[in-house]
Amino acid sequence: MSSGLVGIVLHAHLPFVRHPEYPKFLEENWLFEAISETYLPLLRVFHKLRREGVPYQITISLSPTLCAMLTDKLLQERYVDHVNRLIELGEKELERTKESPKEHNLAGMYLAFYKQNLEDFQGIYRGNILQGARSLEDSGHVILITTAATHAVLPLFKEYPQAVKAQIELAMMSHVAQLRKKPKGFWLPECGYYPGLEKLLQQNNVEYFYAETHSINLAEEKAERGVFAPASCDNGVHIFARDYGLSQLVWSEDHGYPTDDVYRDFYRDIGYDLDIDYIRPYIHEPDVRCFTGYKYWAVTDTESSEKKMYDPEQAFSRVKEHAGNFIYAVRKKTKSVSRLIDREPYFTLPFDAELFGHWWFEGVAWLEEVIRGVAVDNDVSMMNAEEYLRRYPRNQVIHPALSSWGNKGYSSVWVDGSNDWIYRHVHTSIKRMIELVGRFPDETSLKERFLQHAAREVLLSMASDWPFIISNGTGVSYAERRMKEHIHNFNLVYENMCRNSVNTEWLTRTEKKTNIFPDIDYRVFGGDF
Amino acid sequence: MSKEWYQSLSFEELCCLARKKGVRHIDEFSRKDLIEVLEEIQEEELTDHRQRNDIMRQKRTKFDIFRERAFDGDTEYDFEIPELYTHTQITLMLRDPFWAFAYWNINRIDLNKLKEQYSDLELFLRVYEFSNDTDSVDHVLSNFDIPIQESDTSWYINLPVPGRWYQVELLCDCMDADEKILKIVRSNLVESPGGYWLNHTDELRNNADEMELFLAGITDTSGIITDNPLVKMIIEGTQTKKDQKEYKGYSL
Repeated sequence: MSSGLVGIVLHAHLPFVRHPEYPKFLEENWLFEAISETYLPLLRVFHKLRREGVPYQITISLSPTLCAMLTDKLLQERYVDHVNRLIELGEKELERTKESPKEHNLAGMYLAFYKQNLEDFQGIYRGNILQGARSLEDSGHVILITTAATHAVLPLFKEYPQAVKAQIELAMMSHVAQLRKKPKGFWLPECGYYPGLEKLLQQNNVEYFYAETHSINLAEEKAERGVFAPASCDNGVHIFARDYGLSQLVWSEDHGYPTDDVYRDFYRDIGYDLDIDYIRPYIHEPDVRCFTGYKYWAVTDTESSEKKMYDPEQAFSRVKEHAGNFIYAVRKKTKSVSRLIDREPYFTLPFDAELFGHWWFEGVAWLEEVIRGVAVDNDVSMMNAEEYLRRYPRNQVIHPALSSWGNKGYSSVWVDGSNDWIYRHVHTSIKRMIELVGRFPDETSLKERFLQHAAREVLLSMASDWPFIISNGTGVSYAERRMKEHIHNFNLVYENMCRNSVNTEWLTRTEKKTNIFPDIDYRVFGGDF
Repeated sequence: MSKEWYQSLSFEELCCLARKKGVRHIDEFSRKDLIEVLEEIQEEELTDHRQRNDIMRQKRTKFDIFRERAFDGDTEYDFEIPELYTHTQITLMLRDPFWAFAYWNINRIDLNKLKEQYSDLELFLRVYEFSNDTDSVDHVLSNFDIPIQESDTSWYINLPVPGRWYQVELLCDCMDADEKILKIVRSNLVESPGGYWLNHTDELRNNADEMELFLAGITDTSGIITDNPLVKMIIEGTQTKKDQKEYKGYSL
């Protein structure tokens, strides 16, 4: 039997959220929770496996906005404060739960977890956890790739190739600045592909990218190997399409592994359950209850609010079963697909990194067990895209189809009745930015800084996260505020530049706050198309 | 959010929540009414959530750090943006193979000039379907009109056939000038995706291996097929009436 090749891709992304104007800012917790529950635990597992000599190949996509936050001193300091508060809460929890042995053990588990995180963050990485990822790339265990500069869903900006080019070009530059190596691969935000995008990717030396299943399955040509091998666009850039079936074993909310009743429940958290006077120092002011990370309950029944106490031993025993089941499913699918194509099948399995550890608490352990299991399996191997393309440099040439991994495979999440108002403004800002580049091609000094900042604001307004959050209906006010802030700031620069003036005080203040892409060149929005 | 949670909030907090959810005339609501309305809205949101695919549902948890900010101190900010822009333009955005979103601006001065010239004006959108990306009249396969009001600034347009190109014109019917039609502005062209199999369903039906390869990429281990309108059309196109009964188990 031919071997099944598994290409796991973890896409790590969060929007740029940094508010030095407030002493504490609730939405900065998006980053802090992801560092604690996903990024540090993943790094621990990957480094442990490397130390033990367990072979593996994983691809990690790191968004430029996430990298900018992970290397920001202010946010690094705030993360340390955040974890210290959680350690303090853990110590109080040990005292509060001493009469309840199960809760007490769980409180101890979380306390040890946060102490370990703090130790790794300060001791090993000295605040910059990207170092940990870079080291794994240097040893050949991990490939680091990038994604659009501010995670724009690129098909929504197809009419503005300058803006799409700016998203790609800046992402590549930013990746090199943060991670010192030019990536060959590119993660399309939300797997959003449109025909022709490969030309802009190629101009930036991208050799391959990831997309949704139907980009290949619904291509203009019959895909000879289905989605079980990459295809080549007519300019030679390769496209790897997601295998829907196997990735659903993790993604499915109905029957995916994370929904198992013994796993830890994501939503029940002492931030909501305990008395407000007790929990107040660990939630947001003024008395906005939020997650603390101390969660003592198991999924039990997804439809019920009655929960059983979480039992880590039982959960981690289930992790082993699920890892075994996953490898079995790959083997089974390899057998059925091998009969239909002329090569060993390649299964592209992309996931949001934050799914592991943050949403699915045991997900990191599951990944570790999968890696260990595959390492000793004769029928399944892990292989990254670059290794695959070295083995099979020639692939069927096709014209892939428009696609995303959003609802029904297209853009309805990012363009609906709640969020469609943003495009009038974002598209206008893009057109005006292109106009500014044409009118002021050679500015230096203060005006150049003003234009650089305008480019930053346009890019930030293109992020996929704000329409996504607005469409979800939770946290809408912040997402709307961010959209309006970026549009407003851009318009301010545009109007000032039209009047040939620069608001220096505003510029200095805004640059300090929105310090992403310090080396941006506003002319990135230029070029003839 | 349970009924108990709403009960735990003050009347002021409930009003604030309701306002954020778009409830109007809040002054006329009692506390009990507000809780009922908020519960109804929550149920609607839950239905919407259930209609989302797994990736979108799970992705949401990345931003789930609080259930709701009952009081949002950060809403007071001063980032004014224009409601509309002065330049006349229309943009067409493809949402999926069957829906496009159009938004437009009409320069008020230009519109007022037209109004002065023709007292009885009716605005409408004309949607053109093309066989390829040449927006020439020779390639128009069909067109249809959508009447709009002067206050409208956007519209969702149902695209009749996948795999075609579409463009929209914003037009003005000058009723009192022998129904003279003036073009205000024309949009960009968008291509609705189609693909090989949409036009070759017979080939797929008659070749079991091709069919198996196609399905292997889009079916999960429980036999559920990915939710995509074109995939649905292709599978329906490959089925006989007997097959269609057998395929009922799949969530198309």
